[in-house]
Amino acid sequence: MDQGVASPALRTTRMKLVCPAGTPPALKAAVDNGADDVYLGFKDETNARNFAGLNFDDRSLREGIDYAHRKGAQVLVALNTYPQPASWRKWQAAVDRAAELGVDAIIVADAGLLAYAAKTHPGLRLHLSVQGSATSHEAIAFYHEHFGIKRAVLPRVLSVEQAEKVVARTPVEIEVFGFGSLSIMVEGRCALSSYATGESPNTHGGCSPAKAVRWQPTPGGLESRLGGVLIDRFGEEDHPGYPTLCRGRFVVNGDTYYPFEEPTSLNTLELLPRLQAMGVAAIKIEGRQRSPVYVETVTRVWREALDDCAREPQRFRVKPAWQEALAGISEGRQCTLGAYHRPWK
Amino acid sequence: MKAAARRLPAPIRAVASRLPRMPASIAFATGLNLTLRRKFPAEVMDRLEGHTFAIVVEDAGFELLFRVRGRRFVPVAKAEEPVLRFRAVAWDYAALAAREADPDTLFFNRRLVVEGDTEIALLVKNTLDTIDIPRTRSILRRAMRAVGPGAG
Repeated sequence: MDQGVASPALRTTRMKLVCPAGTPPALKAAVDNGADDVYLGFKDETNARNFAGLNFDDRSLREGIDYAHRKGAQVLVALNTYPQPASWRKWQAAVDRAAELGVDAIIVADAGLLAYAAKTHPGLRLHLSVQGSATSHEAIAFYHEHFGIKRAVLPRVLSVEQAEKVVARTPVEIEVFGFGSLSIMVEGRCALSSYATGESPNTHGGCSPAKAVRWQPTPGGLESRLGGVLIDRFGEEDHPGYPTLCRGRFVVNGDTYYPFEEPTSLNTLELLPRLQAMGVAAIKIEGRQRSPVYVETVTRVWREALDDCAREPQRFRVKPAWQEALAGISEGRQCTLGAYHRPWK
Repeated sequence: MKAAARRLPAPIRAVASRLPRMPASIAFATGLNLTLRRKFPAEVMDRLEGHTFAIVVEDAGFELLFRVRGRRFVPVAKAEEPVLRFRAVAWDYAALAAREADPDTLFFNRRLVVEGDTEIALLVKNTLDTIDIPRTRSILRRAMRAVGPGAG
């Protein structure tokens, strides 16, 4: 296979917009507002947003695929958790179901599952999940050579310069995150929450499983707990975030602060011309756990921004109305460029 | 979405806070049975079976109580501690029902308070997100537009 540096001229100049859907109305909101791809999961631990009442069964997925295809969008199924020996057949069956239902691609992290999918369903398009934690062109080349992946999602730990080097050295399409909640982003390798919940997000599909979460009003403020561990206490003016350990406020050497990450959202609108110029193939929006209203808002804004950027990248300006709309649905009070902006790297 | 919640006008608040609780809960449970009951999957109703829920309309000063029994919503006069209690103003409830507001955003902004069992809360939220009731939502949206802008 060709492992050479892909020519920028051969790359598509129009980046695809990849939007989340946890429910059928969210899928419709994404498609109706201009998503190129919609990604979703089954109702079990084969995906990393395994929450009660969320996700798709065979019937709703079939209807969702029909709806998306009628309107020219594609449906990607995330099978991005890691099967264990005892549960292997469940993940295997999920690959088979996705293929039989006619999805456009599956998003997979586990090498064993990629091998199974490549061998059993050679026509099924494979994307390497962010949970695969491939941060170098060599890692992506491994998955390309062995399983024929067509796209890889970069973990949110690379600076723009580092991402650019990866894009320039791989023939695989590169997808990067554009917007959504941030955590410490050691994607696919983080087991931090298992210390509080007893479950690894990489195998059970969630950092803060609802059964482990408690919100409790107290005289000192609203407390969030995960597996009994106090994550944060919010005063009247504070804004709660999702109760994960990495976004907890703890006492460290007598000081109370967020030792890992403050609750923030990623927003890379201002980087769009650069991401487009370096040959990024797709922009991913986080938030399969969010409502159809969130999906509608974020898809509408990003569609307009991507179209503006594709039309006239030199004159691209982030519109205040976009930022206002996105700020209104963000977790935390601040949006950042995350790891993309690391002047010291 | 603006941070400030739109509150009911004082005269309506004064009247609402004096309304008897039980008729309001009966009307609410009847509304749920008409609009949502058949759209809630049976396994979700079974999971909610026997639990009591409270909807506190803060600016109206009253609480609606209902329970799930035999896969139906039934009004409750006075409850033991409900499994879930929601608190918000009437406008924000309407905005959620009309799909004009995002529940997580209202939660982040302290405009929607949820007390109780998080797993059931998430199940209810996600199930509501799954349900399409375009006619009801369209009527609500029109009514909200007729009343005026969403916050202030």
